[in-house]
Parts: sequence; structure tokens; C-alpha cells
Amino acid sequence: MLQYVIRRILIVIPLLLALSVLLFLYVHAVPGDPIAGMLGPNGSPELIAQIRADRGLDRPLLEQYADWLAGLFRGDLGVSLLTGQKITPVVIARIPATVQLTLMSLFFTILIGLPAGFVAGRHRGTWIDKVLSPAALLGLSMPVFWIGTLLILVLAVNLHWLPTGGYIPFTQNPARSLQLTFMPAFALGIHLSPFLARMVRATTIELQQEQFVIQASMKGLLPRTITYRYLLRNAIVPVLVILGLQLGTLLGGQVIIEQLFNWPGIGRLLVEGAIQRDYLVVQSLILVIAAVYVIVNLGVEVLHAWLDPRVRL
Amino acid sequence: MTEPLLKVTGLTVEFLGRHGTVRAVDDVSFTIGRGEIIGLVGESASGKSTLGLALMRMVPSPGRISSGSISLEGQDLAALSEAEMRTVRGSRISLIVQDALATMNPVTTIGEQIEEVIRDHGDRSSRAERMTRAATMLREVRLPNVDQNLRRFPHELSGGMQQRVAIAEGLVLGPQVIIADEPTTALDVTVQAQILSLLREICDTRGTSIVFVTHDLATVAEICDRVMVMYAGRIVESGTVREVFRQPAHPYTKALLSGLLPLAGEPLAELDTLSGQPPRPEDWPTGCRFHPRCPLGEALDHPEICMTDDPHVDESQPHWAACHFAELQQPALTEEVAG
Ligand code: SF4
Repeated sequence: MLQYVIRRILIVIPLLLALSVLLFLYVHAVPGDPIAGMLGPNGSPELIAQIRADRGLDRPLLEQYADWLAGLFRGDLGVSLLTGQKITPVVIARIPATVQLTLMSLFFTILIGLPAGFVAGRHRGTWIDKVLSPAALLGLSMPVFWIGTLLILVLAVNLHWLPTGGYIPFTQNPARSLQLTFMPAFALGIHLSPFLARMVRATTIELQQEQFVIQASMKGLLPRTITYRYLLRNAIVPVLVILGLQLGTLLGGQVIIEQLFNWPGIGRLLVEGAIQRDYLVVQSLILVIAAVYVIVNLGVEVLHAWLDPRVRL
Repeated sequence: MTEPLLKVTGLTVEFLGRHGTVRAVDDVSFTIGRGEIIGLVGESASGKSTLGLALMRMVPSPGRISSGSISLEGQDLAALSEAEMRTVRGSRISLIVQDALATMNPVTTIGEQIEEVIRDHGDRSSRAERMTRAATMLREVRLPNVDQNLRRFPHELSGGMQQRVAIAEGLVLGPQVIIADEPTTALDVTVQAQILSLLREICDTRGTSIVFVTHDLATVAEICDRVMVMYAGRIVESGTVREVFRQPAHPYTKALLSGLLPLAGEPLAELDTLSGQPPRPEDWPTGCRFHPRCPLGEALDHPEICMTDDPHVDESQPHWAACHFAELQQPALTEEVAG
């Protein structure tokens, strides 16, 4: 197991390195000088050149890249081109908000997707399946910003149940913090759960045709035992793998949702960086997000092996 | 013999197909006494496995038992509700199949699998006590290293050990009847022999009856008391192993015994006496269902009666065959097989 994890990490490192090169080149190839953009019409060529020199932008690209990379290994994501501030502390400050939103989104995704898919699969072809399956399709086709906007319109604007957006740290006021998390997380949950539901439905249908599930009835086991121990317990494994894969979609959705709900997470930081052409922020953040994605999926694989005794890493 | 343990009367299983209903098992009747091992032999499409499942009331959809009764100690299983039937399955009648691994929950340990069966059949004792009971049963089927294996997962055991676990699971609640559908086919010869002698031993010590569904005549000769030969959804011959093997009365049985009909696999191409596939339920011929392939019918120049009339039999006889010309059959030279 440990050996496997180490081997996987060794594969991941060159992958991330390649990504870093791509990111670096891509971001530098984007037209528009961020410094000129920042200074606007007041930016005299001398001032621009001075700030560029300050930030080290006049150096050869290779040197800049090496510098950035060396920093990354020390956990230093570099400095913002615009403010000259270190990026790492800014990112760290955003982590709690992002983690909170991610966990709550996953919670809603599972809360909606797992039972819906399971019930539809268990009662395949009945009215309940015929209602749930188109509902899932509808959910799949709704863009996340649209779901978010709809929630704001209904829950905040019309019903006044929840504020339209904002964030309070959990440590400061847990109840209020959760209340504020509800809408953005729920929107992401609705966005992600249809896919999960479809996979769970397919898994459940497949499982019910497995000999060991059929045999469970031959043993005279209670329907309850068959549902929990034979079906759900075996469906958990694919669910986990799907959630790991969906993390990418989730992070993408967060970029939009954080914008919509004024949520100060990593996603919003990324958007801010992109709008201001603060490309060091953008390239560092994307790399961090990619690394998180890869690590989480590795974690999922390990968990998978632990939950399914047949898998040996 | 007193009242038989299991008495099946007129059991018919129908499948609802695109071209109407077809009968996979057609009006089958037989009895099994306590502690008896009865072999159910036939080709792949003969309906033998469906009959086994029907006894459990587990015919897969779109099939169903359309008529007949299955009387276990005087109680008609065919008339029970699904919830009542659940309590019978696994406790009074259980099924052991060929691929033991495929029948076990891959994510639960051996001990838990058996413990669940005990619990779900209303055992109110503690989990630890049920585990002990499972362990005792596993020792009885001579699973090695029971204490370690209890905590292992099904795929971690060898094929023979898996089959022992499946047998233990089927036996733990002391059923009166076991339906064993090719339980040893997937195993290698040595293990096969061990499992067979285990089944025989269980039968003798516990008085459990076994319906042994198989295509392997050698196995039947080895462990069965009686044998029923199935062809095209019907039992065509029934009798003690000795009688049937020494004096097969039905041309089909005779063909099986002289090795003319390979039961699994492909029929041999060069056969001129018995050619063709066993018919599918949707196109069973009229009259005697064996007539298109029957060597005796051919020798007798295709008597009219074979094509028009169903041979009827006196099922109360200890040895009978569903053939109009059963008396004409000569004793087969099958001494070696029966011996
Ligand atoms: S009844 Fe006729 S066709 Fe059928 S087995 Fe006997 S001889 Fe053959």
C-alpha cells in the first residue's frame, strides 16, 4: 500500500511539473501587460518599466520560471504583480472558506444524489424511477450560475429567508456561518448530484443482477439486510470514486458560485487575479488546485482499497 | 416409506416470452425421503436448474410457477406468501450453486456472511454467540483454520474452501432439503471428491435430503440414491441409481449412459444415431418430445404413436420411464458406471 502511494506520487510529480511549464508559458503568452493595465492612463513608460524591474519581469523567462518553481518547493507561491504582496498568506487566508464550501457542497451532493439514484435503481422502471430519471437529466442540463441565481431569487429576494450572499467564519458564529453556506453549497449540490444519482442508479441496477445479491434472497436474508449490507455497502465504492472525479467539476463550479454569492474563497481569488491580469496569482493558484485534485484522487484510491477488500494496491 | 419429506406434484414453470408462454418445467411430480440424495440429470436446456430454483420459489422473472404444489413436511410452499417463503429459504430448504465465490458478498467476511443468515432467521442471541455458531458449522464442513478464515473475505479463500463455506452457510440452520446445483463442477477432481464425500456424510449424519442437479453421470453414480432424468422440461425416467444405470428403460437415458450424448459442451458432430440439439422450450415437439432424436423410434421405423401421443407413466412405480416402448429396451452395458 505505502509502496503504491509512493509510486503514484512519483508519477504525479513530473505531471505537475509539466503542468507548471504549460501554465507559465500560457499565462505569459496572454496579451496585455498587467502593469500597464493596472496603472491605466497615468502609467508613463518609465513608471511601467520601473515596476516591471521591481517585480523581476524584465528578466529572461527561464530565470523567472526557475525562480517561481524554486519558490513553489518552499511553499512560496510568489508575489502578486499588482500589490507586491506575498501570495501564499493570501491563499491560506482563503482556505477555510473554500474548505467549508467544498464540504457542504459534497454533503448536499451526497444527500440528494445517493438516495435518489439508489431508489431509482432499486425500483427501476416504476413511476418513481420515471420521475427521478428525467429530474436528474434536468438537473444535469442546468448551469450552476442559473441554479444559484434561482436560489437567490426565491430564498433571498422573494422569501427573505436567507441573505443573498456573504461569509462569516465558522469559528466566529457557527450558526450564521452555516446559514450563509447553505445557498452556495446547495446550488453546487443540485448541480453535482444528478451525475452522482445516475451513476448510483446504474450501479444499483448492476448490483441487483449480481449473483451474490440474487443469492442473498436464496439465503432468506431480510430485505433490510440486502438493501444495506449487499447493495448500499457495495455501491459506496463507486460513489466514492465518482465524487473524487467530480471534484474537478466542483472546483470549477465554485469559481462561479463564489463569485455569485460573494464568497471569499480560492475560486474568487482566481477570478480576481484573472480580471486584474495578475498572472502570477493565476498560475500559482491553478497549479495548487491541480495538485489538490491529484492528491484527493490518490486519497480516494487509497480509501477505495480500504473499503473494497478485493482491491489490493 | 412413510410420508415423504418433499412431495412435488404437477409442478409447472412458465416463462412469458415474446411468442407467448413457454413451459420450462412441465407437469413434474416426484418425492424425496428423509436423508435421500436424488440426482437430477439432463442436458443444458432440460429445465433441471429451473426445477431446482422452482423448489426455492426463486424462478427468475419473467418465469413463474403456474401450477403444482411443493409440499415440504405437508406444508405447501407454492401457496406461501413471499414473506413466509423468505423464512423457509436458507433455513428449511437451501441452495448451493456451482460458483460459490459469485454467491458471496465480496465486502463481508466469511464469519459475517454466515452470522447474517443466522440473525435474519430470527436468532435473538448475541452477535458473538452467532459467530461461535458459524465457526462450529465451518468446523463441521472441515474448513481449515476456522478462526483465521472467519475474518477473511471470500476471494481470499481457495475454490474448495469457498465451496465449503457455501455449504456451511446452506447448512447452518439445519435445513431438511438442500438443492445442490452442480456444486462441484468448477472444482478440480481431488477437491470435487472431497466435497462430494462431505455432502454424503452430512446427509447421513444429519438426515438432510439433497436434490443433486448435475450433468455428470459419474457424480450421480457416486453419491446419489435415486436418479431422475430430465428431457425437455419433463422427467423421462426415474428409479434407483442401480436400476437406472443397469437397466435404463428410456432411449434417452440409454443414450446418455452409453456416452452418445455429451451433456455439457457441444454435441459430437459425427454422431448418426443421436444427432441434433436438445430442443428449446418454445419448440418442443408434439407427442414424445424425444422423437426427433430417438434411436429406438428410428429402429422401429418411426411409429405413429411417438409423434402423436404423450407417453404416460405410472409415477408410483419405483422405476419408470416415459416411453411407449420402454419394455423393449435391453439392459445396457453400463456395469462399469454403475459399479
Ligand atoms: S416414445 Fe417413441 S420417441 Fe419417445 S422415447 Fe419412446 S420410442 Fe422414442
